[in-house]
Amino acid sequence: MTGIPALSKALSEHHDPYKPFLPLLAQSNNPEDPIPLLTSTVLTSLITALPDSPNGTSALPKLFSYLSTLTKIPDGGLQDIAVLEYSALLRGKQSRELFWHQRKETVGPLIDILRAAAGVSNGDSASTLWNGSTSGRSIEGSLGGGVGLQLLYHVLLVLWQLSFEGATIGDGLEE
Amino acid sequence: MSLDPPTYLSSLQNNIRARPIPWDGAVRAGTISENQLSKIRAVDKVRKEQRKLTVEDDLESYRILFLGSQETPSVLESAAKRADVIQYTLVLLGDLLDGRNAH
Repeated sequence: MTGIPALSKALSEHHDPYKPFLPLLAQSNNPEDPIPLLTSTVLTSLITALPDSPNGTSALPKLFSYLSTLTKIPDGGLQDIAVLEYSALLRGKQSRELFWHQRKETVGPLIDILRAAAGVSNGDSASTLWNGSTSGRSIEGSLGGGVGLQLLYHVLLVLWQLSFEGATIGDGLEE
Repeated sequence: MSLDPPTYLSSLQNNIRARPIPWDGAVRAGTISENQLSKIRAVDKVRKEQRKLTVEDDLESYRILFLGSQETPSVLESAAKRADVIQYTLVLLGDLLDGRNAH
């Protein structure tokens, strides 16, 4: 997609480019409220358009917090939006470190999605998929726990992106 | 975002783009200024190429429209109480940043 790079640049040169957006991110606890959702997509576009902007990372902690609320609700559509935005944001080293710093909020729910997909809940370690032997029960693009294949793929993509910071987080991911 | 937006998001954006906004009423109510409205109208529902030229020609005004300046609030701030205007503005800004079509 080609937008207007000159506009992204002009916006990033503002002394406080994220100020009008941050209150909109936090204005509602309803995950289906379109305003924070649309705000998060605009912020993601702005931040990823200029990875080297000095202001670039200042909005990330709040953006990650908001997106993490979407990953925690049982709605595959909203979860997928959040995980795709994560993926776009995690192209930068600094954002991967910030994401990891907030891992209880950010990574935790992604692991829960993987567990649901593997049919493990509440430490049910008897699941066949979790133990590595497939049972051939997954058909029609959905795995255990109603997790869509596309969402699962995007979650794995995010965890793979995080693995680029192996030196910092390798041991933590093992856990 | 570089990947295609999920269907849920694109249908939400389509709905908001198709929604009529009573702009002139918003100006009369003082929600947005004449000047803000003229900047929005110049890029709203126009062809992508034209929109790009208009914005590139007047970057400073569009920065003030969306982010505000020392003297002027952002349209997102001045229209804080009007969810329809905020939603429309967010979709419009997203379209400008990502190069999505207006239709």
